[in-house]
Amino acid sequence: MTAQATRSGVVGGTSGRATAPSRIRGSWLAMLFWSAASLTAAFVLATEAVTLAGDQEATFGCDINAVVSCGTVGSSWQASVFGFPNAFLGLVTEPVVLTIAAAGLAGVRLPRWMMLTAQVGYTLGLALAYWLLYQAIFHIGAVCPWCLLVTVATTFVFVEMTRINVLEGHLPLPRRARRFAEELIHHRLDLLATAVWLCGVLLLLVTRYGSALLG
Amino acid sequence: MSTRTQPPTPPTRPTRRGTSQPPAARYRVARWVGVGVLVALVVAVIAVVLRDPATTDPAPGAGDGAVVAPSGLGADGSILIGDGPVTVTIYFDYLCPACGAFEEANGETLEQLLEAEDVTVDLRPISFLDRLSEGTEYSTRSANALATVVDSAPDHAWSFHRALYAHQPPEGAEGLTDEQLASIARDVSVPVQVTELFAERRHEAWVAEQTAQAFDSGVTGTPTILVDGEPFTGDPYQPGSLAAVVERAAP
Repeated sequence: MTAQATRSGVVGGTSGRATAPSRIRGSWLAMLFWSAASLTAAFVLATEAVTLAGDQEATFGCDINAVVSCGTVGSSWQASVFGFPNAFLGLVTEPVVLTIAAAGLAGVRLPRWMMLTAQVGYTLGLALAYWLLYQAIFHIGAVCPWCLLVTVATTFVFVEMTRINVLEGHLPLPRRARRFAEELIHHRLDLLATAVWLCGVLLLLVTRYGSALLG
Repeated sequence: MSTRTQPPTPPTRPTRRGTSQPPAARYRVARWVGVGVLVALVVAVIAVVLRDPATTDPAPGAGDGAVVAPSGLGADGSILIGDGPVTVTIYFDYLCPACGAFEEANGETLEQLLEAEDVTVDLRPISFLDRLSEGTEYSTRSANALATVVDSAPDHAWSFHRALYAHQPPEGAEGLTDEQLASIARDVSVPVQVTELFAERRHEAWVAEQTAQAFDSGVTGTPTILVDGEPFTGDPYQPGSLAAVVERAAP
């Protein structure tokens, strides 16, 4: 789990023990940044949801700019899967992730059970984020800028968290799978895969909504 | 993209143990493949965005693009129903759920006001929600169907209008087919010779023109309701809300 395992992720004679903390530091920082971004978006969306609930009449109606409209998305049933606006979930969970990232950045070694719980919780969050994106694109027919920020930020937080958990040896992976994951991370294929994935999502969006998304 | 902290790796390493560790070269190949895919995606995104204005221009339909207005229209393209002293103008899109809610709340009232010859209803079908019908352009097709009925069987226009709302499809689904539109029209006594014309979509360009004009005139959404040219300020989804305003406007 320790010296031997980290060495396998590092090639070219550099000592794994020396470089691992700095590599993870970058991930903690990225996690901090993206969870803050996600929290901001959740805050905006929660505010809108509250406004929308109190002012049905003003927002009901079909707006000509509905391609990128939070009114259309926000008033759909998918916007409150659990009976309350989804953004509230972000308001509750992102501060926890933010705190974990800040602690990690400060050099605190969090216990394995905590990081694993965070990983499981965030994986569910990621699934929800992409289910919502799917619903927005294919069923609601409208997307909103803040919802897209949540999707992107959630993706990055998930990738960085997973990266940390792989490098720290938290994930209960078989030896070979773990080594493979470390190799992928070492060669930055994780970031590349994320970039390819997000570009794919962007391509889907522009194909469906055209430049209305950007303007 | 590449923010490597490690120097380039030599293909072979003296420290390598066992066969479970693949050579670094394989990962470098994977990286180049990944970068290639990434570049291809970025190029595709840019291409789609640049090409976009051409593709979102008036949809290529069966019509040749010529604007064919239905006959018997009022000034500036209004479809006038009835002959009462107070004019109620309604801008709507047949796919818009809010327009359906307005119809549900006030359709019956309008019907009664028409029968009593208290109002003239001025229908303004527009089609800005086409993208919400899975590529079937329901907004345009339904508005075209109404225009066709207005052109050839104007006496049935009002009942067809109401029947379309009674069968309003949800947003984000495929909408009704031309055949379903024709069937709805036949149910309200529109002759078959007229319903057969729906698929020709001959008033499509006119609908697009009306939509552009509506937006130019300051309409920002639907339903937009005017009473004698003045914006209706009541709650459009409250049954009876319109009747009160019409009574006040009546001479």
